[in-house]
Amino acid sequence: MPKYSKFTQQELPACKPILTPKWVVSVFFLVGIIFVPVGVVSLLAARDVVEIVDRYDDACVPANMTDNKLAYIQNPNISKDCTRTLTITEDMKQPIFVYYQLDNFYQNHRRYVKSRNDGQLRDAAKANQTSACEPEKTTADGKPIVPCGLIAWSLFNDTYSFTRGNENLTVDKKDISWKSDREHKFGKNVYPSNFQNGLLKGGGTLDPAIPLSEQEDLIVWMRTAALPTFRKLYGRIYVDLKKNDTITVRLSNNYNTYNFGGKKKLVLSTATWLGGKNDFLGFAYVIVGGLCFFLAFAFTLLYFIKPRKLGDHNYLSWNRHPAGR
Amino acid sequence: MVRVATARLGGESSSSPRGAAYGRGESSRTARLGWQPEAAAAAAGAVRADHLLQRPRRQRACRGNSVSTTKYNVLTFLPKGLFEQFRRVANLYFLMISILSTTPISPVHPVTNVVPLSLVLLVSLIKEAFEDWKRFQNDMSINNAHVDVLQGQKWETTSWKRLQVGDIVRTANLDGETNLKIRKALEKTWDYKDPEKAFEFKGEIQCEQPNNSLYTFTGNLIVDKQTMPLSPNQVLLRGWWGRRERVKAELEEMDAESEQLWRGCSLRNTEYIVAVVIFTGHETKVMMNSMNVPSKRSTLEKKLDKLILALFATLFTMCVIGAIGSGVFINEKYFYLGLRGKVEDQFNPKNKFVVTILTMFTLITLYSTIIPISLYVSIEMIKFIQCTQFINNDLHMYHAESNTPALARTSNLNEELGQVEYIFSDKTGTLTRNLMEFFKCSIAGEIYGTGHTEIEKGGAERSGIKIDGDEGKRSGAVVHEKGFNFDDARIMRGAWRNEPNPEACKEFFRCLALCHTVLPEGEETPEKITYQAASPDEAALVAAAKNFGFFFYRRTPTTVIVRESHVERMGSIQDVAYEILNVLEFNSTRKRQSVVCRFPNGRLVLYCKGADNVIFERLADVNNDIKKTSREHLEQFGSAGLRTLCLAYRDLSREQYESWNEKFIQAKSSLRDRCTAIEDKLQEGVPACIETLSAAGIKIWVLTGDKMETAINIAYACSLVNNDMKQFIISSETDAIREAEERGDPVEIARVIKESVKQSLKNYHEEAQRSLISTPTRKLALIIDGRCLMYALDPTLRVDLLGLSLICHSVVCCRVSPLQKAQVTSLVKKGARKITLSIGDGANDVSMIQAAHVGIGISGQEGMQAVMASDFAIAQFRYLTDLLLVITYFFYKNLTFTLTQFWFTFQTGFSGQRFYDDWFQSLYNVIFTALPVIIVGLFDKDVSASLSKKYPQLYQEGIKNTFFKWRVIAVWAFFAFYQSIVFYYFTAAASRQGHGSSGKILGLWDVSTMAFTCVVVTVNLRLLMSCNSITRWHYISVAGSIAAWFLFIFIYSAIMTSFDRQENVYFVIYVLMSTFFFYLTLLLVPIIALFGDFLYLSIQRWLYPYDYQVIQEMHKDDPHEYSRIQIPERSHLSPEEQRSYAISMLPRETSKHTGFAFDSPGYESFFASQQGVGVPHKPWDVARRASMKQRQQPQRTGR
Repeated sequence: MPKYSKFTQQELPACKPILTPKWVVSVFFLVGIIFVPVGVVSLLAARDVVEIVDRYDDACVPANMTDNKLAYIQNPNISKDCTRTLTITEDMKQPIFVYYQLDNFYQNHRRYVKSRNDGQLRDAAKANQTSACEPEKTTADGKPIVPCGLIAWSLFNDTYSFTRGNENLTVDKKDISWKSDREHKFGKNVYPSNFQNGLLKGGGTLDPAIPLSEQEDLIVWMRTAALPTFRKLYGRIYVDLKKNDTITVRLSNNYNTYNFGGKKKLVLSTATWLGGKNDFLGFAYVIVGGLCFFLAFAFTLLYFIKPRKLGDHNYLSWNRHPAGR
Repeated sequence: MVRVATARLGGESSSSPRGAAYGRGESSRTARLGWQPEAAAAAAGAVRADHLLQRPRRQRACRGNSVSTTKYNVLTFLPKGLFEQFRRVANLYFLMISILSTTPISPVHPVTNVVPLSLVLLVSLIKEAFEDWKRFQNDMSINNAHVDVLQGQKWETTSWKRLQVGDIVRTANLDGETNLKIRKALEKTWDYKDPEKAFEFKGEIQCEQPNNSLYTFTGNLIVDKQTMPLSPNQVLLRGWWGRRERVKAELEEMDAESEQLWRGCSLRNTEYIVAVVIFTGHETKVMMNSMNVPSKRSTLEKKLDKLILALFATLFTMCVIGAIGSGVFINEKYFYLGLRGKVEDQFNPKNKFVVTILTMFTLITLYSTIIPISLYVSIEMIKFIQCTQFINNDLHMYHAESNTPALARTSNLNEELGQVEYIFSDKTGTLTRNLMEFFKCSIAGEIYGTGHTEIEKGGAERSGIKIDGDEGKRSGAVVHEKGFNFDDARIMRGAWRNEPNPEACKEFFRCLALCHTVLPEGEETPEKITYQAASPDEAALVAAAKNFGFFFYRRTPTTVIVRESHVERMGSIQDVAYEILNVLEFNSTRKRQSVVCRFPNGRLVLYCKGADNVIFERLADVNNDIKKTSREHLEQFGSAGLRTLCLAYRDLSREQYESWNEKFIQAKSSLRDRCTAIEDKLQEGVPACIETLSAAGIKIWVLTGDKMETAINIAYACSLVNNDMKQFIISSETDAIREAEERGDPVEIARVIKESVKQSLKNYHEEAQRSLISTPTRKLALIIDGRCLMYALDPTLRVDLLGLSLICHSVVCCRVSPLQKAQVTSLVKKGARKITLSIGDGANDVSMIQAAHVGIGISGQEGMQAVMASDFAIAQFRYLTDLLLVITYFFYKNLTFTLTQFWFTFQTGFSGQRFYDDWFQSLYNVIFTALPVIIVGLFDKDVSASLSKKYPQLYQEGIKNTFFKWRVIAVWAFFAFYQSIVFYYFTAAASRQGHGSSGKILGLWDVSTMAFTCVVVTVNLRLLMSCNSITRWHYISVAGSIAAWFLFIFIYSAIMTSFDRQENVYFVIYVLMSTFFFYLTLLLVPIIALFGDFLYLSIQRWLYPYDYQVIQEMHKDDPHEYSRIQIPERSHLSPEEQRSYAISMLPRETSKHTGFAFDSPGYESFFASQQGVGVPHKPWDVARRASMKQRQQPQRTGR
């Protein structure tokens, strides 16, 4: 005789959830109750954030060269210095985060993403390890580039400095990268070498005397962005800014985005517990929550307008079509 | 082609000239069989049992008796197993993708595809190995079973595998031959039963080549230059059947010891047999047969293939879009991509066409997850567990009396059980139990017996009358044993003495006790004795006599000894020896059986029993009143579904007897009559079952070898046909055909029959069409006989036949041959494209079983309830259609996952950059989402088995394939699309800003890990949403899968190995978890993703509920079903055993079960010859069939 077990006889105790009107309405209601407050709180948090965005790529091209931006950016003899004036729209509490934002920049392109060597970045002994770094592996005479690869090669190199009136607003560039990157992915004893030595310079240079783990701009840059429009943290300003303050930004517009028509923006932003000015989450929560309330109501209505007795056997198909075929 | 192999038994070693002649005549055989060249027999092609020379036995024979049914051995396992695996498109595809992913065009590390592929292969191979190991163990246990072999002058025990052709063996162990089949040794060999005698036996057997025909055997035994033909009657074609379903050796020429030889010997009547081995091992007929069992592919699998094709098409479309995009995108202006100068072809902006083509391949590799690689292996595992754990262990399908659990022979077809639309059933032993019980009798115009038959009960239930009379009328101690289900206080325990006609009663009982060919067996007490009879109704009659106080307990060749009670006076018991002078056995023309016996006091009586019409013809022309009432009673019995038989006797004078005996012609005697009624019990609850099945939309076709009248009666009895139905009868018994037959020209006969079949098909078809339109619709029934069927199956008429029969609600085919059974089955299978199921127990059903989608073979004796099994199986396995949920779910989860990848492609310049880490992608299918769906496939049932039995109409959902419409797939696809957009854009949108008060920015891998987490959580929860019943296994597997993901990512992102690997995801999860963003998103995204599904399900359920959903609602407050089973108080059993016991003892109404085997080649009844059942050729077969054919005449005439 086969042994009895709840498993083999398929008699395991089971709960049998049925989407009865009660359940449907309560689920919608419950979701609404949770979501709307969360959404409101998120929205409030996002509203506290003050964000100033300034696009400067076009504005920084001298008037005589607007037709030929490429020539401007590629000519090392033309000064790339540029001054922008920003007006603070709301009071900004410190720390104020300085971001740069690039557009149409495919940091997530396959050829780009893989063009790095993590071993080389971490370990000085692996300087020769330049696999996957195509096409920026070695210099013309065959010496390994540290850090190799397209990502490092195209390092963003615009710089910004800020003044309010005569007051110099120092930009703190410490701790702009994730700690795990600094401590584990970029070596303390790995120094840049042969970097940006080629004919074609992709971007910024690195001080060969500073180890990679302290080259925070590089570390930030090398945590590649998910989307072709992205921001990267440039630094922090530990000064409160008042409404209507005028900030002068002196920037060197070195980085070439003219080639592919990408925009460059400077962003000043405060942050809350949730982060930057991110209405998205809040709105999503509020909208979904509201929708749930609406649906709870709509379903209640539906159950009144089109009532159906639960388990009404008139609804069985063979009772609806008595012919039974 | 008959090959002759000769087996010499004993005797000298020199080759016989005869054997040599045969052998040289056919040299090819010698080579094929691989006779040992050194054996003298080799040249002759002879098999010899050479006991005199005492040669080592292994030299004597050709192929050993060891049998191997394994698919692989140690060496071939890997190559052959892998080859089998790669015959699957999905596996082959992944092999190609794996190879592709080692090239630079691949965006993913090979690990992404190699890991899931190897896991899938590993699981499949382990399963294969496990199954093969089981087979091997089976083989070993059979090969090592013991048997006695004649060695010199004594028996020596050896194992089966050492048996060789020509060995003389003695065996007592022929388990599995459950039907009493009579084998009779040749007279010549009767003496050779002791080893000393057997040693002296010299002989030679010439027989046919090993072949796979199970019912024929051609051969000769040559002893002392005397040639005796061997018929199948002497051959154990399938000895050693057993549970293992394999025959090891065929035993021939039994030298049985027993004085009962005259009745043939079965191992029930003798302790052992002595036999000679003719075929061994793989040459046995069963092994030759088992070689080419057709492999059945389920329709689900075919649909699955279509779905996979659709996925391939989707994949292709996605790749084309992506590839074109990449060609358009690639441009030198993106200087940071380093596209100047020498660039590899994949990204070379100067040759956009090549870029497009190569990106195509890149994307194929990237999107490979759209093909659900683990789907096949998951389904296999589900089916495997369903088979081994559920079906084979199902206590509802366990036959307690014979200790037979169900046995599923193949796991391929489980889900077909949920979609059967046509059931083809054999009649005998399937619809009816072939178990006879003495039920009623009418003696001298008085009816005795108070029971009610199944059919009466069924009829009463339909008309709403409740039958409860049993208790009231029954006397206190009801005697109910095998063959006897009778109670009437008026004639039990000697009470018949007080009846109006005690003398008639006495003769009636004597006739029962004397006029038969039954053998008593076992202890000679009424309780212990068992009766062996060729047909079960004979045994029933003798058992009845026993219960009436005429206990037949011993038979000698000339006498029958009966212990008679209450004859002289109440309470007296005496043994009376009746001398049997003549026995006239049953045959189909005489339709009766008679004995002439001499009482101790010298009285001569002729007792006779037989079909009513034959007996009535011969009755003396007195007492016409009794005749009339008896006839009425017969009709009454017949309409209640009972088999009837008339008994009569006549006193003979000495002179009469002697003159008769001398001339040996039948005296026209005047007889006095009685009649009995025997119930050929329908399987319990058959009418109810058939009603259930027809409510479930399943049509039952009865294919039987019986006569048309019998078949119609059975059909009536089990309510397949009733008087409200319009019947279309196509019979070859019409006047026109008979006329043609009388003229005797076969061509003319054929023409006439064909013409008439064509005409009636056409008429009936038109009529059927008309009645379909008319209201109220009458149900239709088609009855056709084998001869007409032969013409109706002709290609020109086939369409008409199919059209007509599909309209009809029930179809009865009578007098059909096994071949026609198979033809009809495949006509429906191929013509109507419906799922068919065949049930049968006899050899004549094998072809039918193999032709149908699902075959059910009944193992074991009479009384197995196959239709019932199908009924129960259908209730039990309706939910097997939930495999469709498994498939659609796989489809959904892989599509969702791949689409997120696809959306990402649009924002990477169509470069084919992967969104997820390699390991995420590779483990997604095999770890993070694999287990719950298997659990659901195993456990989910929309409504419980008992409810699906209560609402058989539910079954139509399966037939109509409601759940596997493309519409359903489209709904899933739509939500996959919607969810993938939610996953991708909601997580990606959040990457623009900094998160957390540190203002730091998340990178690509942070976003993708976030998205992947959402996908895993949502996809697992989605499965839970579509479950109808959630057990703790569901919770464990779903929670476990999600937990597995987190565990994995915690470890994976925390370690950094020294290997050169992309360390993209290093620490990402910890970075993510340091932000509020992570938690808010994790709450938001799955809920928004499931929002659509929830909305859809709610609306669908409320406005357009499926039937099963309504029924769920009706019974949502019912207690759990198992709580209804009462556990008996049996202290010596463990709780589990108690439950086992309780379930197996459930009343049959709720557990209509039997031991049965899916797709089994079936048990063949030995007598079923290949010409069809209509022409029985053995006396006992005639007896059995003749007695069957006598039933229910009155009902038919009454109509």
